[in-house]
Parts: sequence; structure tokens; C-alpha cells
Amino acid sequence: MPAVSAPPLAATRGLTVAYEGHVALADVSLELPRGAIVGLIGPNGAGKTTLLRALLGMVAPRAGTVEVGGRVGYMPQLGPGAWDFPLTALDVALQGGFRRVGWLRRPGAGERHAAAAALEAVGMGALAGRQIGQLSGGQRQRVLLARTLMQEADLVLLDEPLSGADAATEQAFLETLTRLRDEGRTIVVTTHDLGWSAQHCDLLCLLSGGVIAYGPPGEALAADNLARAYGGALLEVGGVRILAPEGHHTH
Amino acid sequence: MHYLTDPLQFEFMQRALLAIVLTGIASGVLGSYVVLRGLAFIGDALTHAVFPGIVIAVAIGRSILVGALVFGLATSVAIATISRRRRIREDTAIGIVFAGMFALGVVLVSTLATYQKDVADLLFGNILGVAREDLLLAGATTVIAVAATLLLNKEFALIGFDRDMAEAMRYPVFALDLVLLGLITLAIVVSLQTIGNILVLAMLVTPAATARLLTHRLATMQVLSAALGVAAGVIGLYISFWWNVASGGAVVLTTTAIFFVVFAVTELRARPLAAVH
Repeated sequence: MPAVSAPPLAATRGLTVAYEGHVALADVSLELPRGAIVGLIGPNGAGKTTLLRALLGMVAPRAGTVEVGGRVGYMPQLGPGAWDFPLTALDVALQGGFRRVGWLRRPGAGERHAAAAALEAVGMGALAGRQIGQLSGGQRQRVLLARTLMQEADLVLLDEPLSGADAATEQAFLETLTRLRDEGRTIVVTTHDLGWSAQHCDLLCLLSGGVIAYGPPGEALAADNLARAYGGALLEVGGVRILAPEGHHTH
Repeated sequence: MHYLTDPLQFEFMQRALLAIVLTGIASGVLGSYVVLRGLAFIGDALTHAVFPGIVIAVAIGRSILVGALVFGLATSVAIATISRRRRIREDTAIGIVFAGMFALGVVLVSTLATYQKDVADLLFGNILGVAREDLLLAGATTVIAVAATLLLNKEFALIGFDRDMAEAMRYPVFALDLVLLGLITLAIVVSLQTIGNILVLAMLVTPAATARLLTHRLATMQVLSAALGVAAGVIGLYISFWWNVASGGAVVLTTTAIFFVVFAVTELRARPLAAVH
């Protein structure tokens, strides 16, 4: 992680987002440094996806500001229906470069090379010509990651990329995210897996309608923070079990 | 051979064949998106919504293609705009607009008793009615519809596959949806005279659905869909000529028959494989 004094890649100040009167996120002030993996955690409906959409400029803030000093890439969560579309893994990876290619033009040889390389980087090179519907859940996630790589973004936003991921996929994600971080890019990744985020993220943001805690995993995951985000009762029942893999760190 | 060549002596049959080829191409290419994006209902709505435009065009003696085009595009805008409001679901918006438009057409027809024969032709199609000007307009419309679709193919495919990503990439998704609906309207307009208003939907859905069974590639699906539409159109037209049955019905029955044959064959081929796994 860079020195604290370096200017952040992105920042929100007093960000409030509402959908039809319902406030999804209130008063979020965050600074995202360059070259960091930032985990976004919190219960369902905490506003994790909303924060990503605000960083992408897809939702207009009711109050506050969002500033991003670079290109933003995105990996959304995709419903099961989408995978019937007659596209190959390579076709999907190519989509990440469409804005670069521009209107009314097809991706050229350079784009195809880049897309093949992106698939190769996530261990999907051999399946580039496979129709996406014939891929496993983890393979599909890796194709979407390859597409995100094609965006060549400075700020990479990943929405639940590891849901339903197999070991190979988890490994490919970890290697890719680490490489992107080492290149000076910033990755924001939402996840339900507190153990994974504590282990692999440089910073954690604990959300529940607003920011509960933001800092290194050890600080952010303090028991009182978790209790405030997930509710004390839930923590006693499920929280301890979720955090169990982290137990050995405290020995 | 004379079964194939005899009908070609007639000028109306030459025009009808050209018109049905244009229908197959336009409907086939645009139909791929109708099938992939689940727009069959909206396609049905558009075919009905152009009805008042046709009636008015007949009444004032203008080209029905222009009348249909105006009402189809207006309906596309209305549906897309209404369904933008979250409280009204898209299928509800479609239902409101399409039933209202068709009712307008029905009311107009009832006031124009003398034109009812012409309008009946448009509802069910009439190959005898394809005039030279109609053919030119249908040709130009087909070229525009197909060229625009191919030029926007990568954006249409992205939106169809992953709308969220298209929005995140700052594509004007709403405007592109409107353009797609407009292009589908063009395809409907091309098909009106040969197939008839009521059966146009079949040309948008069936060849594309058949093509989807045969390929996993979008570009291949679009080409196959157009080819299947053209084949069904030509075969149906000959059936209509020799057996003296309604052209639109004959063409649609042909494409339906092709679908079921392909469906049966692909199912039978899939079975043993499924048993192995």
C-alpha cells in the first residue's frame, strides 16, 4: 500500500443514494488509495452494490459527491438467464474493449489478441471458443473477469465475483487481483465471505446503510463493528461461525 | 421444373417472390433479437399497433408502409417511455398501448366501410397487391433495417446479454432499445403486404427460434434465420400459387413446419448424448 499522503484514486464525500424515497446509502465518505484491494462487506441490503453503482456513475447521488481519477471497470452479477445468449467466451471478453473500438466498428486483430490474452490470464484460454452456456459457474465468473480486464481500468469494481466459485476460480481471481494491485490499480470487491476478505484485502469497508468501519481488516472486523453491521443477535448465531477460519490469526 | 418456372411468367408472382425474400431477410435478422431478448410480446404489440396507421393510409390513399412506419415508431417510443416508470411493468405498458392502438384501428375501419376489403387484405396478406413502389420501399426498408442492425450488432448483443454492464460502460441503453424497436418495426412493415398484419409475428419469431436450435453463434444465427425465413417464404409462396391458398398462411405454416422438424431432429440427437452423461 502506498504512503497515506499519496492522493487517492477515488473518493466519495457525504454520498447519499436513494431509490424512490428509500435511502440505500447515507453519508458515505471514503478514500480509495491507488494500488489496493478493498473489500466491501456487510449484510444483504447494506448498500454494497449501490456503492459500486455510485462509483460507476450509474446512479445519481441525492447528496454528496463522487470523484474518480481514472477509468472504471466493472464486473456485475449476472442472472442465470443471460447465459443462453449465443456468445463464446471470447465474444464476452471482447465486450470489455467495445468503448475503445468505438461505434459502428468491429473489434480488430489487436482486440482479439488482447481478449485471448485476458482469457489466458484467468485460465480460460483453452475454452475461448466455447459457448458461455456450456461453461461451469466458476468458468463463467472467470470469463466475466477477463472482460473486466479488457476494460484496462484504474479502478476495478467486482460485485460478488466469488459467489459459487470453485477452487481454480478462486485461485485465478486471487492471482489476478494481486497482479492488478501490484500494477498500481485499485480493486473494490464485494463479498459475503468475511474470512476471504480478512485474508486477502488490504482495506475493508464494513457497510450497513452507511459506513460502519473502514480500515485494515484487523480494525474493521473488530467485534463491536461487526455487531453494529450485522446485529448482535445474528453475530452470536452465525457471525462466530463465519469468523471461525480467522481464529488462528489471533493466536 | 415447370412447377417452379411457370409462376415466374407472371409479373405479380415475380414481385411477390422479391417481396417475400425481403420479408425473410428483414424478419430473420431482426427476429434473432426478438427471440434472444424475449421480445415476442412486444413484437406482437408492434404488429397490432401499426394497424391504425395502415387504415389511415388506405383511407387517404397513401402508402401503407409509411402509415405503418409512423404508428410503429410512435408505439415503440410510447412503450419504452411508459415502462421507464418503475410502477408500471413493461408488459403492462405494452398491453395498454397495443390494445389501445388496435382499438383505434378497429374504430377507424368501422367508419370507413368502403375500405374494408383493402384492410382485410392487409390483415391476412395479399401477394397480388404488391405494387412496384411497394417493392422499392420494402427493398430500401430492408437495406436500412439490416445494415443498421449489423452496424450496431456488438452493442445490441452486449445489452441483450448484460444490460447492467452496458449501462456501466455508459452506453445510451434506453436510446439503443428504442433504435432496436424501431428496426423491428421496419421489419414488420416489410412483411405486412406479403404476410399480413396478423401473421407477421411468426416471421419474426419462428425462423430465428429455428436458427437458435441449430447454432450457438450470434452471427451464424442471424444468417441462418434470414435463410430460413427466405426459404419458408419462397416455398410458401409456391404452395399458395399452386394450391390457391392464402399466401401469408402458407408461408407461416411452412416456417412452422420447418421449426417442428428441426426441433424434433435436434431433440432426437440430444437424447442419446444426454443419456451418456
